[in-house]
Amino acid sequence: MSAEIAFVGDIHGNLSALRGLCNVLAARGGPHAIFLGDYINRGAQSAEVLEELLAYSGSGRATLLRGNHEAALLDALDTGDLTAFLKMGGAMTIRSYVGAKVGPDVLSDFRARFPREHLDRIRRMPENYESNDFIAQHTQPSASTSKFRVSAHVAVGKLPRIEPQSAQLDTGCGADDGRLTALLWPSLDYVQVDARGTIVTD
Amino acid sequence: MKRDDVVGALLRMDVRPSILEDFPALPADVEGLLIYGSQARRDAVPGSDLDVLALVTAQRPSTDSGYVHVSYYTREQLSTGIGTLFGAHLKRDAKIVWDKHGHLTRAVGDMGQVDTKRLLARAWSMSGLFTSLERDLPKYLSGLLRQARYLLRSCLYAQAIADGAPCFSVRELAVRHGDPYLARLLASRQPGEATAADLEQCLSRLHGIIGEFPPSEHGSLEATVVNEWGRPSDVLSMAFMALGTTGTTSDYAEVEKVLL
Repeated sequence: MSAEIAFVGDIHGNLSALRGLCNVLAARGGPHAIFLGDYINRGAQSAEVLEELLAYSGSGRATLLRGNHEAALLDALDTGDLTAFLKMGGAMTIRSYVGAKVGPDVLSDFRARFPREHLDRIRRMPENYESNDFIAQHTQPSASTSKFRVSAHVAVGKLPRIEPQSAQLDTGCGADDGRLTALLWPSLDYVQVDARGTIVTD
Repeated sequence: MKRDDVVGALLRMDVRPSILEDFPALPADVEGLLIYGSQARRDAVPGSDLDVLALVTAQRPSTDSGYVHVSYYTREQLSTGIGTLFGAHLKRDAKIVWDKHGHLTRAVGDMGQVDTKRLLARAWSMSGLFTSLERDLPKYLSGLLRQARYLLRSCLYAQAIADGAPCFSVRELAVRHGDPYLARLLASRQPGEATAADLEQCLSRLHGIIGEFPPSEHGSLEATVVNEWGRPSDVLSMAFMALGTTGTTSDYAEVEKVLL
């Protein structure tokens, strides 16, 4: 069991990138992975991404934090109002779960095909993960803490933004030219894969 | 160009200082800026918006800050304005504020004449959005009414151009059509809540111009958005805009703009 920790940025429905990154992490000895949220929307395989992540976290080797896209999904299913979720690109997630053309009553189709286990597990996802040395959450933690702050949420370009006291890891995964990034703790090295899941070094 | 430099340039173009207090900070990738509409024509009345178009390298949603409306266009998006009313408006009214590479000036110069036949055909294809009202009202009344107003106004302008008597004033069109209610129906700032009666009034006039609407392929606004997602089209863009705006816009997905 590796003592290393890997923080992973937004995935947004890209299963190839998730699998590629998991292979890279496995080759490093399988550090415990803390995923920073936004697993769904944009890419075409939100349902599959969530399925694999839930299995990964179920094995005890990963922690899944809740991103604002998961929060919007919960809100849509709890209130029955899909508007805000659709405005965030939720159509891709709905399609990945329904698997075919939705009927006029989108909410009913979506609810019927959305697994109870996924709903329960998303509901139980914590907002943040904290140790003596760092605090990780989807959106940027307050700078008032002296701990190292790790976040995602805001796309920062192709490369992660790593500062002496903080790191931002959303490198656009979910878009064709996006990358998925894992920051390694405590070394602050990082690894990346492209949209196809191929490791990138530039 | 920094915000203060833009504001300074706009003051020199006689835009009222009180409007410019709300002028937002601009993103770093802006490489050109123009104003259009009543402020550019210098026939603004109190309460008129300042319409700003910013040329950018990355797509982003429009913003409203007080009376300042900023639309962001990439060069590719702006090229879709060729042959549209929007392009004709720009060509006629736009005043360039700043143009780093000259791209904005060239894009506006390329706009050309309005293709009214194409515009009316596009409006007809989009009007299917209004054939699943039983399911979509009242949840999306506000967004549907806004899109219906946009379609009706565009079709009236196109009809006037096709008839050889171009007119871009709703008040004048109301007189021409002997339809005094039209001016209130299409006023750019609407007091009070959206009403189903106003939507009905818009749609009946739209029927009169473009004929029977095609039935919705998907049976609801939400189903249209979900099933058409990833296949850019006028119908998808109209449906997405009819969802309205909710909460923060920072995470909104982007669809293609509809330029009629």
